[in-house]
Amino acid sequence: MLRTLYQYIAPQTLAWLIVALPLAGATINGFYSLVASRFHKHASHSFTSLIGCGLPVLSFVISLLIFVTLIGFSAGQDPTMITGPLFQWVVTGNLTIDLGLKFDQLSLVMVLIVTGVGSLIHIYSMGYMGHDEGYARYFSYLNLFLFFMLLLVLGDSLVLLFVGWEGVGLCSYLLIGFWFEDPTKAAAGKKAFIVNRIGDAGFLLGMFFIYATLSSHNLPPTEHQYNFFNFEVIKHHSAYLMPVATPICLLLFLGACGKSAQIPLYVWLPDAMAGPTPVSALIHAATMVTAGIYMIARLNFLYVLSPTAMQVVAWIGAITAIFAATIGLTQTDIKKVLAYSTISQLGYMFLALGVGAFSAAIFHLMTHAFFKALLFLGAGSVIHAMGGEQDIRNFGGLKEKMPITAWTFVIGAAAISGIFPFAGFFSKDAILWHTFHGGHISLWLIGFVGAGLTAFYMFRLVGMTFFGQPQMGRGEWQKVHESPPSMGFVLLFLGVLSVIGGWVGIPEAFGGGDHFHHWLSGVFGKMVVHEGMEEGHAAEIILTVVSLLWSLHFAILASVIYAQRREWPTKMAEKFQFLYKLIFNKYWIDELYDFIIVRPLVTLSEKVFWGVIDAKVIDQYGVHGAGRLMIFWNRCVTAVQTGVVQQYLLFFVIGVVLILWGFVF
Amino acid sequence: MMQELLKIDWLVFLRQTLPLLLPLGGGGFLLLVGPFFKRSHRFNFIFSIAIALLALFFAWQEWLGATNQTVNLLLFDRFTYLFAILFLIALILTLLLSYSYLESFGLVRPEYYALLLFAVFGMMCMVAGHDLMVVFLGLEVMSVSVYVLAGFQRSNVLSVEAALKYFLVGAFASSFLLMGIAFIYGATGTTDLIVLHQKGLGMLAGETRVYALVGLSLLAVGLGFKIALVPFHFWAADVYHGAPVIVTTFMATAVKAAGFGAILRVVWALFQWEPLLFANMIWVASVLTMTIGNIAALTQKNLKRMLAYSSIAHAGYAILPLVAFSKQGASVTSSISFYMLAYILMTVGAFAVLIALSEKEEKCTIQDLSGLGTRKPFLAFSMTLFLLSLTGIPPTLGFFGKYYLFLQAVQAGYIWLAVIGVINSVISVYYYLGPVVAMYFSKETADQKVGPTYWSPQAVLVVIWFTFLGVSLFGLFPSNLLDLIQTSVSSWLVAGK
Repeated sequence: MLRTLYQYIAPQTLAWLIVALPLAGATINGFYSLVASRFHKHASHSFTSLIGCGLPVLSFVISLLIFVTLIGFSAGQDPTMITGPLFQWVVTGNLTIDLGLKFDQLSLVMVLIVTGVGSLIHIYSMGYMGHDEGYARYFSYLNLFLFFMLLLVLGDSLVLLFVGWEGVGLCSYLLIGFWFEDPTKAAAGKKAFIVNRIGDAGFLLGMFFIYATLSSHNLPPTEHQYNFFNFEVIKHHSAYLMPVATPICLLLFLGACGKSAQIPLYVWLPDAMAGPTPVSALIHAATMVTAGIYMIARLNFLYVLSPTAMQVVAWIGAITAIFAATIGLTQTDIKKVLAYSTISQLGYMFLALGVGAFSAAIFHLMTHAFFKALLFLGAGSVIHAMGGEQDIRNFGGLKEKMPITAWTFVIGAAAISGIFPFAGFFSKDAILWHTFHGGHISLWLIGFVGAGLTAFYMFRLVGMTFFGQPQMGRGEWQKVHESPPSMGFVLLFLGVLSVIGGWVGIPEAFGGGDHFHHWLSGVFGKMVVHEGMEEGHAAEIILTVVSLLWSLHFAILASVIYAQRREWPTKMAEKFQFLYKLIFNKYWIDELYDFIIVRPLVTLSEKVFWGVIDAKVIDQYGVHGAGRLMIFWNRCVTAVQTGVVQQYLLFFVIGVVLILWGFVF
Repeated sequence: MMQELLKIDWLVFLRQTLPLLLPLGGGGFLLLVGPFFKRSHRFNFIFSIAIALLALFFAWQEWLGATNQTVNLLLFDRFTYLFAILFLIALILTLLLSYSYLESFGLVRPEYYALLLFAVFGMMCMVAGHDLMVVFLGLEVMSVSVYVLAGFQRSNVLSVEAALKYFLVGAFASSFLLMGIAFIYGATGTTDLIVLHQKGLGMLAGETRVYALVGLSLLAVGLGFKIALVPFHFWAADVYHGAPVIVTTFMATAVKAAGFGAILRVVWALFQWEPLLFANMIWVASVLTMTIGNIAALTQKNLKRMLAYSSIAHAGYAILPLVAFSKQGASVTSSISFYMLAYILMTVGAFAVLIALSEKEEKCTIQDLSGLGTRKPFLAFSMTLFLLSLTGIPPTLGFFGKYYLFLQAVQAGYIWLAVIGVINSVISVYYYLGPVVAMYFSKETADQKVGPTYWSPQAVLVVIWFTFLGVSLFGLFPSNLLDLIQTSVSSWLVAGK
């Protein structure tokens, strides 16, 4: 079948379809929803679902085809492919930007995750959003998101990456505020957008920095001479960037902090849970928030030039990991707990990037996409069954009523806690081992403690939601039901992935082939990952077993406490009231930002910038002044236009005289 | 003389002149046969469209195989055919707009079509002629036809007034033009543009130089009148306003393009007499024209009148790059030609929307447009596109047109001139967006709601679609179009130099 396909379509052409199909879906559904609302009709669900889910699935199938094609290359060749530029987007004397896609090991992994997990979540949404008014609009946004995300991971230049980066930000904003009739939800959307702008400013400055540095050198004249943002070109000329690598990397990292919710810009992600739960799963857990990780992994050749920047990345990641984990301990909203766990897990990925273990970061990114999507969708299933209730104190004993959700959720929790043999075990272990092996003992210790906390709060969630006695009224208990098959199927599928997803990266110390690292070594280079790994097998096994026991004991502890002895934590909270309040209120970070940044800015702009400068000076004299001046001139000009021909001729003659005078004298 | 005539390959000559002869013959045919078919408006319409399409086809064929031949005072190069194509496109679009308009306003008369065809013949002569006399003759053929067309709606006082004013001022201007040609002939002994270009100022000395410069000034007056440069612009507002809107469309597009075609030919021949002085005159005229046009347009409530002033302003933009003619003649010429095409498409589009709204009476005030966004979304959207394009906002064709114009000035060092142009564009935003605001943000009045809402003749919709696609697609991918125009220009300017 492949062969017949290739006879007619080259892989390079096929590749564009991956990106184009979701865009087509977004356009069709967008127009459809507009037209339907104009004629006050309900959009047909089956048509919307067919387009909205069919095209992403098709896109996934094409990604698989390309994956199969590329790994079919003969030995020794890297499985990479660059589509020729679709067209030249910007051509000026000293800057060229082409529109091209780049397929290599890294982007293949990302594309498979994005389209695969994305398709599953689209299918899940059919059930979850089935009763919603804005069904077509929802799928249109979701497809648009997929388009931008694919552009982000496939674009062959920093500019295309940035286009995707901003595009997913837009879709995130639209979907967080999907139920915009509710002002708090609309405000959450705005918050996400504004916090991301801060990061994006850094990102843009980083890009300008690269451009300024590269364009100030005379690069050898080739056809790519002015393609300053192309990854290949940056990589090839990265020596020029050596002296300014630290500022560039830090600026770009600021962008990553915004998008991937790291300290100090993480505050938007918990609020972003206001969106529909599948959106939280797709955008705010599995894919978009990992864009920062992808960006740094993609620019690994830049980051290795600056040890300082790497240190910063590692420390920010580690601190975020443990910081968010502590907040997760006390939250009572099921989605908020998961949101903080996402922040914490992203912290682990940055930790891995910072210590140079790029492939471990991507590995964790992949397994995290599986189990975190699973957890969010499970939470969605619970919320769906409970009629919108999100407070875990009102759950309990749900495993009786919804076994599929409960047991897949347990699998997800085990995976995120790093329990053997679930997916998270291998990826988290890889991160901790690389940190330890790289000599960063204090970072390792933070990560190690954080892993224990993760296990604790995840099984707290499991215990309070699915085990113990039901905490709700009788009537409500009877209404609880298992979710429809389209949702259950997705949960099971992701459950399987959360179990086996980690097996592609079983380390050599455990007798595995470490395939994932070898696969990515084409992008990240061998020496960063594998230097001196062979001698440390014994140490690796010991460390792994220790951290496994550490997580396991927390997991058991938490599930026992919260399933059977619910009064204990309350007593503990009373004893350590200050600490509890501090953590429960998320360290008052939101309030702190509000006090230090938001309110002074608002006051300043209302009192000074708006009140005096804008309203008085600019409006009165500038805008209205210019307007009045124009109207005055207009009166003068139209006053001459009397309609009397003789007068026209008079002006005509004056004109003739002036021209004659000008030319002849 | 006889021998010279015999040397010409008459078959080739016939082929080369077909784009000119077809409108001429077609117009004559309509006048001769028209009385017998007086009832059949449809025949006249289809016949003129067929003539125009045929001429367009031959013009395109000739463009492909143009050889820069000069035959008997006519110059057949790609530039000629490029402008012929422009005129014919404007003609076809005007014809499509006219059919339903004439029917519903009771103006069905075959002369209308004949006059349009004659006018287009005149325009082609203006661009093809390499002798000032031919240019003049072409200009007169065109003008006389358009005078009559402007007064075509005899029952309307405004229309008659427009025709009379246009005629009076036009006759006045033509006398200057002819006088200018006479002075130039007196000073140099020739009216042949190619000879004038080749000899330059070298043949002028002493008193003859003064005569030549007087001739040049008077010539500039005559041609400046045609494209409504300040201070020869007063007629434009009254005439555009008073004439039937289909004729206004034709005047604002084809007639203006013809004026520019002739100006480019003449400037090429004569600018070198006083390059510096010439550039100074150009920038003064350009700045005055665009500023006064824009400022006068600010408070117009009638879109016909507003577009009249806007067309004055656009003439100001379009002559702006001529300051750089001595340095980069070819690129200046192609930028102006490109702009003419852009201007034709977007102006015809804007007028077409107005025509689509005018069923029994012309609906051209801003108030008539209010609430159009909900009544007729496509018309409102395309009108918005045309207005944005006229403003020069990317990614429309108008943006690139203006960009190439200002680019010429910047490359020649006239950065401040480009800045003035941009400031003028900013001023124009105000009046171009006024109708947009009315269409989308004001409520329709009671009688607009009651009145017939879905009256839009097919042919007019075709025009709107065509211009809509042209303005948006070429706005996204302008380079092919620019290549085409540069090719047309380079065959003339390189060969000439």
